[in-house]
Formats: sequence, C-alpha cells, structure tokens
Amino acid sequence: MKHIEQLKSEILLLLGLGACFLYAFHPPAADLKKEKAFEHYLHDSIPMQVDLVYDQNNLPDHYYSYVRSPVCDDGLCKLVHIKLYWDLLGNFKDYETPDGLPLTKFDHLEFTREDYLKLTSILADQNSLLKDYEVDELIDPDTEVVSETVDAVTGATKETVKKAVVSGAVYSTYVIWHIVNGEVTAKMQEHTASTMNEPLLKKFMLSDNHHYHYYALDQLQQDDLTQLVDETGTMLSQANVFVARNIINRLSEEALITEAWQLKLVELYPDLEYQAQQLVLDRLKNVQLAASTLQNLAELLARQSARQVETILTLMVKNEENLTKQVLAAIAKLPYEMNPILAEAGYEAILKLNKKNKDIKKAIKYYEQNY
Amino acid sequence: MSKTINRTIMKKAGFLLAILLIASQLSAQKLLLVETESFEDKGGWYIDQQFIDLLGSSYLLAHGLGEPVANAKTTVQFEKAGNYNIWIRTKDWAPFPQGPGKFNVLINGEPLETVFGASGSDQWRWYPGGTVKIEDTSVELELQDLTGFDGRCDAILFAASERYRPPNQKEELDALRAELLDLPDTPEDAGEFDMVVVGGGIAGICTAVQSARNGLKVALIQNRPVLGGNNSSEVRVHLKGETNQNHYPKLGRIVRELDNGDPGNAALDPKEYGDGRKLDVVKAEENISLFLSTHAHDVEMDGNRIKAVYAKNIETNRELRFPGRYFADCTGDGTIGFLAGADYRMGRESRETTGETMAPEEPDDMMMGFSNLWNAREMEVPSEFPETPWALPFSDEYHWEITRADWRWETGWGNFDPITEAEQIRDHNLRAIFGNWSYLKNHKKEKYANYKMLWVAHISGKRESRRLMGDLVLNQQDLENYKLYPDAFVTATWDIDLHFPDSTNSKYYPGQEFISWYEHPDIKPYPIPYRCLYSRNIDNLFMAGRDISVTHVALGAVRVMRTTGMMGELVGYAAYLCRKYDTTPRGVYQDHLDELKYMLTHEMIELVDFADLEIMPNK
Repeated sequence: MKHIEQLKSEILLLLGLGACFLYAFHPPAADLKKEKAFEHYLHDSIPMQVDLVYDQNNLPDHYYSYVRSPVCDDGLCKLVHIKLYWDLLGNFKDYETPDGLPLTKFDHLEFTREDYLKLTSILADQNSLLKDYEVDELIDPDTEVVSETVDAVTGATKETVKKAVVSGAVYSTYVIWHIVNGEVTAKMQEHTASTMNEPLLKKFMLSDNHHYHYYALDQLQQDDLTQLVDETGTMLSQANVFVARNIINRLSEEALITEAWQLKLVELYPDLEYQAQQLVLDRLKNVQLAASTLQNLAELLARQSARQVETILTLMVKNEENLTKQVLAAIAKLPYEMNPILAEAGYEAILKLNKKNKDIKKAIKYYEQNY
Repeated sequence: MSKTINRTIMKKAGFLLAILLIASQLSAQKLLLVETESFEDKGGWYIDQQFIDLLGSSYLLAHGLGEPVANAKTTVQFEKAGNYNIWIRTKDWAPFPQGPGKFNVLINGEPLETVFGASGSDQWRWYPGGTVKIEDTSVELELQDLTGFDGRCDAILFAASERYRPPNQKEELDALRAELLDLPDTPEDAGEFDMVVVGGGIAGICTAVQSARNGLKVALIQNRPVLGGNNSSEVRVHLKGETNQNHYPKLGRIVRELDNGDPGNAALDPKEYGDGRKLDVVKAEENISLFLSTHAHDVEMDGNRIKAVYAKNIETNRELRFPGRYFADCTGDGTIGFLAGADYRMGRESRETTGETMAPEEPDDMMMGFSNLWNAREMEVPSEFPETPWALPFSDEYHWEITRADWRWETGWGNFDPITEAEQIRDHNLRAIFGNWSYLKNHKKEKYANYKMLWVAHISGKRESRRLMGDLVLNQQDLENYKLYPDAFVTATWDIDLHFPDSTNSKYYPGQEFISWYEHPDIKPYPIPYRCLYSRNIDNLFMAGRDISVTHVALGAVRVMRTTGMMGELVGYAAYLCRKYDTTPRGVYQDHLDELKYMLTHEMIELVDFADLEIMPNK
C-alpha cells in the first residue's frame, strides 16, 4: 500500500491550475469600476453575488464575491465571511477576510499566517483530494476531540486528507474549496465569453496568465496569428514554456514564410527555452528563409548546442542563394574554432555549399590539415 | 569453445593490433596520459564508475549541488621538459544549449585558456587545451570546478607532437590507456574461488555470505567503494518486502542482519542506511575475499561454463582475474550473463508470448526507470539557488512542490536504454531535479527561501534492465494463480508493482518523462521457484537480484530488496550442493532438491568441509 500513502503525501503538487497568481495578485484598489456579473446560489439557497471588476482601461479584469456561508461541524455552526477573487476564467486568485472577521479553527482559534498561506495553496489546487470527498468522509468517526470552550465534539481528521486541509479547520477548508472551485467557475467562463471582444482578447494575449494564453489561442484563427505578429510575439515571449511551444506549433507555413514572422522568431529565439528553440529551427526547415533571417541566425551560432549548430548550418546550406557575404564569411570562420564541435560542424557545412569562395576553400584546407 | 576462441582470441588480436599501431607511434609522439580517477587528491570530486563499460574507465564528477567543489590535484612526472599539446577528455552533459558543467584545468596553478565542459555536445571526446611549456618535469595538475553542477573529466593527455590527435573510438582508446598506463597484458589471479559473486547489493551480499557460511571460498566483487547497492548511502532506497512469510523461515536471516531499520527513501543522514553494518557482516566471514571499487567487465569461457571473470579497479584501472567454479550474477544489469552469452530479455514481452493480461499487445522497450533520489531541508537562513536554463523547464503551469524525492522521480522507460544510455538517464534525472528546485527557489521564494538542497544522489538506483533466462520464467499467471512449483522457495510479498510514465508528466514532457505512476494489483505472498535463479544456457551461472528469470510483469513483484536478498541466500545453499556433488545449478534442481529443502528446514546441518579439496579442478 506504499503508493497510496505516498500519493496522499503528494497532494501539494500544483498543476498550474491557478497557483501562479497566489503571490503576484493584490486585491484591487477600491476605486476600480465594479458591476454585478451574476448571482449564484450555494446549496440552491444561499445567495452569492459575483461582481466583475474592471481595470483602468475599462476592460474586465477579475471576478469578486463577498461570501457569507455557514460552516457546520457536528451541530456547531458558524458563519464564515470571506472575500474571494478569481481571474476571468474562474481560476482562484486570492482571498481576504473582512476586518474583525478572521477565519477560525476548532475551539475558535484564529488562523495563523501559515494557515492563511496553506489555505491559499489548497484553494488554488483544482485537483485537490477534497474534490472527490463528501464532507463526512473527512473525519474519522472512531475518534473524538472534545472542545474545551464550546459544547461540541468532533472526530479527528483522517490521515488521508490531512495535507489537503488546514489543520483544525477541516469543514471550513472543505466548504470554501467547494465554493471557490464549484459551479460558479463555469458561470464566470460563460460570462467572460459573453463579454469577449478584440481588446479583451488582446489583453489575454499580452497577459502573463497561461490560462488566458490557451484561451486566446483557441479563439484565434490562423489568419489572426499570421497578422498579429507583435501581439503573438509578445505572448510568445511572456508565455511559459508549454504555451510557447504550443504557439510555435500553431504557426502556419503561411505565417512562417513571411519575413516579419521569421525575424520575430529569430529575435525572440535567444530567450526561448531549449525545446522551443528546437521547435523554431525545425519549423523553419520547411520554408524559404530571407537573407535578413539568415544573417540574424548566423549571429547566434556561437551560443548553440552542437545539434542546434548543425540545424542552423543545414538551414544556411538549404538557403544558400540568400546567404550574404557576411554570413558566408561567418561560416567560413567556423573550421578555425577551438571548440572542435563548432569546427567540425562548420567544415561539414561548407563542404556542402555549391559556391566555394577563396575563404571557404582556405577553411576546408585548414580543417583537413589540422583534424 | 568456439565462442571462447572468438571472444578471447579475436578480442585480444584486435587489442594487440591496436596496441602495436599505437606503440609504434608512441615513442615518436611522447605521450603522457593521466586518468583523473587516479588523481592523488580527489578534492570534492567523486569517482563515477557507472558508465565504465561505455567509456573504458571511470571519470571524476564535480557533484556540488550548485556550489563549486574543491579542486582535485595530482602530481605528474614528465620524462623531458618541452612544449606539449594538452588534450582534455570531457563532454557537455547538458547541451541545452550549453551546459553548466564548466571546469578549468590548472597546470602548476595556472588555468588553461579554454574553459571545458560547455561545448554544446554530449559526446565524450578529446578537446584541445592549447600548448603548455613544461620546464620542471614534476608538474602539478588540478581540476577546478566552476559551478558545482556536475562537470566531468575523464582524462588528460600531453602530446609532444603538435600533429598528434588522440583517438575517440573506444577500442583505440582502451589500447592507448593500456599502453600508456603500463597495464599488464595478463592480469594476475585474485585467488581461487568456489563462488565468484559479482555485485555487492543486497542480493550479492546475501549470496556471498550464505555461500561462505556453507564453507565455500568466495570472492565478492563490488564496483563501488561501499556495499549495499540501492540500499547503500549512495542511493538510499529503503528495504521493502517481508522476510517473515516464508515456507522456509531460514531464508531471510542474512537480510535481517543487514537491515538497519527503515529510514524511508532519500533520508538525509547516510548512516541510516547502514553501510558499516553491511561491511561488518561481510568482513566477519573468513571465507569471503571482498573486492570493493572493482568492476567486472569481461569473462573467460570454457564452452558453456564461465572459467573466470575479469574486473578492474575503478581508481587505478589495474585488472584482476577471478577464476571460479560457480558464478553469481548479482549485478542487476545481468552483466556477467550478458558477457557470457546467457539468454536474456529486456523490455516488455507481448501478451501472445507470455499470456499475461498486463503485457502489451506488442513487445516493446518499456522498462521501469532509474531514480536519483534527493532531499532538501528548511534551514535557519535563506539561501540562493541559480536559474538553470540548461535543466528541464518548469513553470507556474507545471512544477512539483515537494522537498524530498520519493519513488516517483524516475527516468528511463523506453526513452533511454538502461545500459547504453545510462549516463543520459542519470543526467536527465539531474535536469529534472535541479530544474524543479530552481523553479521553487526562484519563483516561490516566500515558501522556499530557507530550504536548501542538501543531497542529490549521483549514483542512480536502477529498477530494471536485462533479465537473464533460467529453466523457468516466472510470469503474472504464476503469481496471481499462486502456482506452487516443486522448487518454490523465496517468498515474494510485494504487489505486481510496475511503473510507467505519469500521464500528466507525459503531456508536458513527451518522451522525456521523469515522474512515474504504477499499476499495483495485489497478490498473495508467493514463493519464487529456484529455477528462476540460474541461467538456462550457462552451466555454472546463478542469478540473484532483479536480473533473475522473470517476465517484465513478474519483475514488478520480485524486485524489492528483502526479496532479492533471500534469493541470494537460496543461491548460497544451492551453491553448496553444487560444490558438494560437483554438479551444476540445474543438477541441484534435478538431483538434490530434497536435500536443498532439508537444508532449509533443519538446523545444525553437518556441512562438508571443502578446505582440503582442490578448489579449481580445471584451472
């Protein structure tokens, strides 16, 4: 049974489902425009108003709700007050408690700073074990913990869910998690879809939110991607590695054949993660490259892996007719490199060139004499 | 016989030819070779022998978890002063696009102009280091690690001739090493042994100790400086499986002697894994000759029998010959069986081949992977960890918020070959570990600022590679249907625990997975038959450990270390009967099974004293 135990110990794994904003997000300034987006009912009876908050450019920014919900623990009920914030796709961003109404645990102990941080992590985990549990399953019925301050009895938290809840606040954690990650999120997505327009889509593209990036990519047509070089390029540069690869894969050959996209990709290339770099080079294999693209690629040669050097040089040879003198001169220097990887790759490449100028012939001779 | 002739004569002939060719050049070239593993002072660098069969020798590794390790130093003597071209044999272990393993080579305290280890290529090769002027014939050489991120250097070569180019091909390089290090053509015999046990993990120790206690003269050969294998302080996998559910309760006694308690996987205190306890158990046996830091790499055959094993010291490259009557392959990789030509399988069999419901429709290369365990601890003060652009990428969308590795951190599968690409597997694990850690330290500072990575295994813990075939190949049906064979002995108590890449991890890192998941059907405790523990076509070869005769599916249930230790104990009893009756492992099954059972069910057995008998009937 080791795996089950270990699985349970790993529930802090965050698979990007909102976790990214936990510390970056700050609750909005009070003067931002806010309007009611829709009303949602918890347990079909407790009303919960969800507001859409706008940014300074009057574009939708996030959702907000002040929730008052009862939390009952074996007959002892209390009203929890909590201010909740989601992004425009219903991913949890943060929470606050109103002044004078802190969250409390069993025996009325107030949440510590660690408890607040832990609850934030738990709420951001859309795959929490809490998703699949009924509230009664969280407590071991064979144990009893008697309150010293109020007339209440509860059971001990089951070992399996200990890491998925704030210690001493099992029911509160459970209730808040289900509010945050419940049906309300689908309503937010619907509402956002109904307000979607070009400025908002561009806001999504230029954000640093990978949920927004994937959403935007699903909305964009091939033509849009081809046209929106700067916006897509910015998204590519700001995106996480997985989104970046996704964008590069989505670019059509019609886009890649344009000089604007070629230059954009080569411009962004040095800061891309390795796999994304590989993807760029692989995608460029199938299109004719402009002289300016080749020129910029040549400048990258010294900082590449052997595999990348080989690929770039293959691109050079394939587009020989567009190689400028400067590029040819740069390639002809490679066989003299101290790094034998560069020297060898350069030698192999220039052998394949159809036109061999004096410098290239000299470089071939040098390599053959020295290696 | 033909195989022996082929293997020995052809190989020696090729080797001699290479030596002749090289030797004819040597005097003119004036070459001086320094293997880094032989440096007098290793500083903070580790000897890494894990890939010795691929490289031909060990190398030094600067495994400093991001903090440069102390310099390795040695003094070399030149015959003559003069100008020498210097060559450094190294690689860039993480060329994505350029790795972090940078290091300097210092000659009398002065670094060469070139920084090594970040060329962008992960192929081992010689790199030019320019020309150095040697004035005093005694020269101090140093390796200076620049990053603490696993830079590595195999050897340094000085050549008087500018035109000389050192060979990159293994065979030529082996010949060059033999010549320049003045290694003898004919290695000395390490002794004469009844039983030569190769591999000093739990299975190997138990095989050796039980054989020795039954009166056999034993050689125990282990290629690390410590015993214990996956359960050593170098790998830190805890012992699993039960020892108390046997039909033959005598099995498991040595395992219990070795058991140092259960610290879990990847505990920070190395002592918890009991390297010393294991060494004490072995050293208490007068009949065991222990050869630590000794890597078996070749065999000498006589028909279908192994006559001797050849092994070399991982630090000095000096070779020894281990002649023996019987051999036990406890290498995990089935190395000795493979070298001897034993039948073996790797990867998953097809459902048609085995009839197993857990087998795939088509056979494939899927195997369980390697783990390099790690552990971090919360400290009183914050610490930095650099960004690691050369590592696997992590982001808000995918990362792991944990501070201690467990079994799920695993690489290999069919993406990499566990023998020929073992170094890439280890390095892939390192890229996953360091990449995720760097993400937590730099992007989750409020939570992880005070955590410090304190230990990452540079030795991989392997789960699967070659499985040597015996007279019986245990399968899923045997385990699930509790098929009781007449030679049922060692009780497996683990589930059919098969690992494969985690599906979410696969989505983000297709073909480069490093997190596993499992299938885990329960089985009843099941006694493994003896016939899984000897080769079906090499007459004097036993196996104990994960390389025994099982299907891929059945391996899931037998591979945990308390179970493999008991296999070793059983082999120790069977080896005694082999020796007593001058028979083969198969002969024990065919003719002496009752006596084997008797030995395992009775105390105070009178053992034959082999001391007066000649150990080697056919030297």
